[in-house]
Amino acid sequence: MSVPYTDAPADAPIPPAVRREAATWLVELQSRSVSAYTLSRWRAWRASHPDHERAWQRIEAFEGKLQTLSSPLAHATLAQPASAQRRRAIQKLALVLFAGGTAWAIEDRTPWRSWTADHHTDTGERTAITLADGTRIDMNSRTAINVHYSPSERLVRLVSGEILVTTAPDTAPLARPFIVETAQGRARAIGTRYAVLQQEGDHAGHSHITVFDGAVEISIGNGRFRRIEAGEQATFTREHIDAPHAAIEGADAWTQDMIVAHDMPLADFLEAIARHRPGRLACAPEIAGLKVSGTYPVADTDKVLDILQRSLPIEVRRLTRYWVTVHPRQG
Amino acid sequence: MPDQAPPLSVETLYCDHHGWLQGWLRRRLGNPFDAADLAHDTFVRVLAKDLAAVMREPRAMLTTIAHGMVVSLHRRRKIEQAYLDALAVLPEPSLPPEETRAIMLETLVEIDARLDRLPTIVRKAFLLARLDGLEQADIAAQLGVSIPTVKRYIARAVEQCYFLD
Repeated sequence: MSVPYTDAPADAPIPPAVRREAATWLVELQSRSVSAYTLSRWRAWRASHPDHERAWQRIEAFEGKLQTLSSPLAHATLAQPASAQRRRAIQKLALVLFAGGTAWAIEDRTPWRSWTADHHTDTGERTAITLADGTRIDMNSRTAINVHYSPSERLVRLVSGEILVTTAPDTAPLARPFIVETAQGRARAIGTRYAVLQQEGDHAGHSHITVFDGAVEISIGNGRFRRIEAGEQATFTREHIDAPHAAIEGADAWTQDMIVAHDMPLADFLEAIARHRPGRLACAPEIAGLKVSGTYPVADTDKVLDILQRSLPIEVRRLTRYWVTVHPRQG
Repeated sequence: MPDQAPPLSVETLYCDHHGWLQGWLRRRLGNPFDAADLAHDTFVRVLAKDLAAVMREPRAMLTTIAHGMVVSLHRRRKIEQAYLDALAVLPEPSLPPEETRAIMLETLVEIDARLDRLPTIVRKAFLLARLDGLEQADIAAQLGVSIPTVKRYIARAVEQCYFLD
């Protein structure tokens, strides 16, 4: 995006009226649902004056600064004004944490970053889209994809999250391969139905694939490739494709708004649930191995936690909506 | 040669009022070391001001600046104490590394100072939204105001806090 020429120095103060506008835009963009129309008006506002763009950069910089803060500490220091209330807040803090807990950063509330992708879902949102050739893409929570259909291939770039692909026969005269690309490599469809999950969308992360129908060929940068058959799942990084093993039954249940567990370790189950809610959800090490079985609704994760609390010897502690920990039940 | 006013200078201001200011601060802070530090900081702050205005009413100006610094110091000490109390209850492995702790504290002091300028309800709305992750509808219900009011409160807090000059 080109910014109009200005001779104001980069660190000149932002005029109060512009600050007010920028703040109003931030509140809009952090609302529960943001329309495409609001998004386009926001982009137009940013582009219409260099001060607007500078103001928005300041906002992003401060959000970045907030995210370097540890949520527990920020909460204990900022949230309670009077000292007696502060002591209570700190005591609550002590109840929530446990040895080995991570120093959780303040929740990232810059959702607009994923909105530049062709298609995206918010936290807790699931949707399905149909591409030009009839291929269906189910998108899980927090997923962003870019679609690049060209004369030589049908490519979907998985920027973040998880998709389930159900390919349609190509409508073009010369059948083009269908490929899902992640930061680690490419998964080319030989059959028709497979899911790809992008873990940590940077180069150092890994991707995971589960094949439901037909087969898929994974290829990574160093020339390595491997074929994964229906009923199999595999993990791959930029350097290596792991040997496949049996797919977990119900791995695509999220497309039906469900999560299915068969003796799943509690820590893994909570990790799966966590993707459908904002904030952090963590588990004390002593109970990480408790087994979870059953079918649970992914749309209401608080309800799932309540159900778990009734059936397992655990206690769910909520310091804030964003910060939930699971402990062994006391007494 | 006609009488001339003595040259305006911070040195003159310092000589005439520094001792007096330190005494003023010592009475409010209760210890001579903080008083010496803040007296020094006050004169540094004065350097940035229009000296002619200061010279018209030097003690009034100095005490205004010094008072602001006393208030800031008290607020900083409160934050530091809360921060240290919170650190004290964190189990060892989850402590942030030492380098980041100092930076975190500075950021918290900064945010707190800016939030402090806001009416309590505005500050509350912002913290409920940003720290606690409440939806605007839930904040409205909790504070007993409308959703558009919540949006205005949060925007006002952002306007005050996010633009660091």
